[in-house]
Amino acid sequence: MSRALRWLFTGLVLAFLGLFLVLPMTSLVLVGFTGEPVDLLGHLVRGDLSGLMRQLADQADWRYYAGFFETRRYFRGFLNAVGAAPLAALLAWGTARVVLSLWKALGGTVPGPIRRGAGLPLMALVFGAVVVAGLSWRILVPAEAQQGHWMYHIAPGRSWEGRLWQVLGFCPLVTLAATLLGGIMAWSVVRTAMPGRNLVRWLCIVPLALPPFLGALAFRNLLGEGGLLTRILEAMGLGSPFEGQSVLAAGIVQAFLFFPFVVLTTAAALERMDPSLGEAAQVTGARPGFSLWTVHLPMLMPGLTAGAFLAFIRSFGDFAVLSLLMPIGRPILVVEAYRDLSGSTDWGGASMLSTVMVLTILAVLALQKSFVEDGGFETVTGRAAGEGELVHTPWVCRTCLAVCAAILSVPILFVAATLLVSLSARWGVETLPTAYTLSRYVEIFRRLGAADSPLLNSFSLVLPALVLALVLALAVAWTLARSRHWTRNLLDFATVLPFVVPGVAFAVALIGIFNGPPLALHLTATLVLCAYVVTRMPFAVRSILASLQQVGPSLEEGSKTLGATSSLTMARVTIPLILPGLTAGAIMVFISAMQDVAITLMTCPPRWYPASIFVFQRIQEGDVFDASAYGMVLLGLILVPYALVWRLGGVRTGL
Amino acid sequence: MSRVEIRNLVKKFGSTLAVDQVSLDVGDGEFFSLLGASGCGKTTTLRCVAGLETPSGGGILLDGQDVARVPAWDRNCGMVFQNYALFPHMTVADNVAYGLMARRYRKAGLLGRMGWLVRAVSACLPSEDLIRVREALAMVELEGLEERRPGQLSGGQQQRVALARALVIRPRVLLFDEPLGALDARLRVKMRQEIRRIQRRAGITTLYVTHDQEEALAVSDRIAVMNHGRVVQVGPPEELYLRPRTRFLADFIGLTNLFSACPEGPGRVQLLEGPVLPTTHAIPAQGTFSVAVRPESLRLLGAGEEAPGSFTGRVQLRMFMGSTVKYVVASGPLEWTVAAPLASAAERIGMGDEVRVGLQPEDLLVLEGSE
Repeated sequence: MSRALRWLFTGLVLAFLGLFLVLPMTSLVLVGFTGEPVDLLGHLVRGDLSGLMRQLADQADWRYYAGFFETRRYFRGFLNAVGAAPLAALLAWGTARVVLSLWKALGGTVPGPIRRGAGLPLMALVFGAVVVAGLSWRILVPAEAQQGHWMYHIAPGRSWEGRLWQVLGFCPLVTLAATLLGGIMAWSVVRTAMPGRNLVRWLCIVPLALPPFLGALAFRNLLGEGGLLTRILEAMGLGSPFEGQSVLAAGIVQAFLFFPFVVLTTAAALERMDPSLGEAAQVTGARPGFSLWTVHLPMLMPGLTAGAFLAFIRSFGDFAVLSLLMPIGRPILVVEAYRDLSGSTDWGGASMLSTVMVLTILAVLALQKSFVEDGGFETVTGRAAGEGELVHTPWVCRTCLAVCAAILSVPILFVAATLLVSLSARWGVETLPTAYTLSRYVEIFRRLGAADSPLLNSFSLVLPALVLALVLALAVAWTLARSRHWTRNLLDFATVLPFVVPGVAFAVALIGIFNGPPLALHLTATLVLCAYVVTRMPFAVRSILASLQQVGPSLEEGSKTLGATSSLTMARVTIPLILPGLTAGAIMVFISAMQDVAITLMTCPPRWYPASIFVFQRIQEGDVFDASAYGMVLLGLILVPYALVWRLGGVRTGL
Repeated sequence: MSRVEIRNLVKKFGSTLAVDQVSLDVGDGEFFSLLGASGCGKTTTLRCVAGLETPSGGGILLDGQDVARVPAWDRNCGMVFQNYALFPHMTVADNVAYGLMARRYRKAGLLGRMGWLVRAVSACLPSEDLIRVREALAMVELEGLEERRPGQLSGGQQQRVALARALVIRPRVLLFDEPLGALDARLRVKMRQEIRRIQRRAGITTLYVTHDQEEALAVSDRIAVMNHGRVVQVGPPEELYLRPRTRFLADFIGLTNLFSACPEGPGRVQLLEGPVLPTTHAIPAQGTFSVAVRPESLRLLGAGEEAPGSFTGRVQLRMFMGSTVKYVVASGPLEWTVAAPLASAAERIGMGDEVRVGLQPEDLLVLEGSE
């Protein structure tokens, strides 16, 4: 490839990322202040920066951010999602860090123990204080003094249980549950000689491949009103355990859908961890309880917290489950942002909430990073534990297997119940359907011929996006792997950003730019397609980058010294070597784009609604039968390539 | 002050026998080495003593007490691992203090345990522990590095931290698992002297596993050489070097002139395809056996010199080794290595010269086992 061509290509990639990523995110922040779209693109095209500045100066104020604290459903939505106690702990930690670095910048010295060890106790103290205060305030303070008091916002729930949810926060609790489930499973799979270890690992792809909206549907099919398990329990005279829409229902679905992230990262960390560290602790006199807290858990922190972070951002930005399963009186940030724009076209509110979401995720990311860095967990180049070092104790193995089976049975039962619903022709008050039919599936395939087939729409949107994403990802990954230019860091950031921006926030940002001239792309298939490309490209970039880094430049140089031209080198050496990474990346892009709800729902014209939106709307309408049939087809389309990518070993890199 | 007694120790991994009926007695304050090639069962034996492996049979006694049912953390051993196994997320001081904190945790009640756990996690050492940590670090000459992390230390320094961590708990037995394997040659020599010096000063009974015969010979009071899970020979370094009993041991200890032979009358052996030589050692009545001669007990004979045993050969190779000069002498199909003192090498023997080699009867060792 000639130099000029390479620069042209790089320029096109940067222009694409600039147009569909940088500009929307910038406009998102600005609209949070102005309250209406600022026509950023138009000003840029006209070269009219002073006009932009004037508009900003005229319109910008803190109204919407002040409104965040004044509008009940905003602030409640935020606290419901992140919880008062975790938020306070996070703020305390951030403040302490800022104060400490200021103190250091002014020439003060910080004693080692405080610098290293004070973070956790401080956070624990603040956390505990807020929990105690939040739970006891309603009891201790007389009712008349409560109205209008700021503490009232922190713990408004009337019941103990409601207050606990609000003080601890929905997403942190889901993250905690997912981390526990995933941590136990990872340990069982990697460190015990439990029978069926590989099968357990393999079955993790079921929850990984299950789209969240399908998880919500499956929960209704299994445990909601008229769900399979509910019917069975009612037949046994035990009554129905769950309401269809409840905080607990949303929490269960999220925890059991997102725990595999923790399994993947923790299993990788466990495999890297040198078993002699644990042995050293033992011989030096540490009982198992002591070494667990002082050696094993700290060493696992990077993997565990990385998985927990992934689970948190999924839970926090998951529009589908939260909008389908959260009860009416329980506002949640991501749903409120969606309602602001789609319901009442409140630009300022939606943009402000979206910015808050992104900032929250960035703050949690910073916490996770500093946790890992302060801990000084160098990647220990340990050997994996040999067969002899696994835990062979029979009762431990049996318990682990039972726990893993119990965890995995939930998503598998989800799928089974949905399959049953999709196949049932007649299902009255009986426990099981009285007649079965394949007609729904036949109908789906017959409709493939029609112009508005949701499945066909899915493919027409996802496949072009896939091709474009791969081409861009190849270029970006290549630059990241080989270039030392300063643009490298920019690109690196551009490929991380979509990971941390929730779908709803990104959709709000896109609409803010493209809702009018000069590029009125809102409600066109083009915008959906480009949004897929920008948000899903990072999967492909990470996956290709991983295999490129394994290949290293020496092979290419070797080929060149043998007299091969650049294009020949590319065709005969590089492409074949990165093919596994490319395939894995492509499949991850495909799966992830097929699952999308938030961006599509907000930017797609109804004519182009893909299968995911079709299912989502059927669920909203309460038509579980059609939704289940479409959902099963969608799941099949996702599960098969996912199994393939698992075989390629690309799941870990493709996260 | 303790003794270690290993009684008929057996350890199986699945169907493979890693340790086969090993019995050893390590005396109080003794520096005892287990020497052998990789896979000979020496590390497994050590790990059984540490409590990291459960023996399949036999027993281990520390000070006469059977420790079969005592978990590793209650055995009060100090162990230095091959890769040091320093905790990378702790400072040097916290690494060294780990055993002290673990003991405080172990001895405390339920509430006290939680307290010590919090202190351990947040790296809050009691001041008396800090003093002991400083003492231990001073012993290994690492003062002033308390706040570093293992990743910021050199290999030799990491080794010293690992040693300090094992010493600070005043262990009954000090266990070393190939501690110098990851160091470069010069540092290895320095560190082994260091380990020996510290062990002598502290007077701690020591079990030392290594595959390096030079290292074992240099530091040990006694050595047990192992092969295929069994102990081949036990004795002080001099005895193993001067009087190896088997061909395996002679080969392992670094004897180069090893040949097969058969008896040829009283006090004389016939080397296969070689000369007939005298020996003072007992000779089997019949069959082939092995004989060995250390290179430094062979002598290049000048004109008119005589020796009880001698043969002629041609110098194939001359290597200057510093204090000695090594000659490789071919005599028929056999190749002999002769180490001559530098002074005698002044006689200007060069490659290709015809020489006569002489030896004393007591230097021709007769060994069990043949090739």
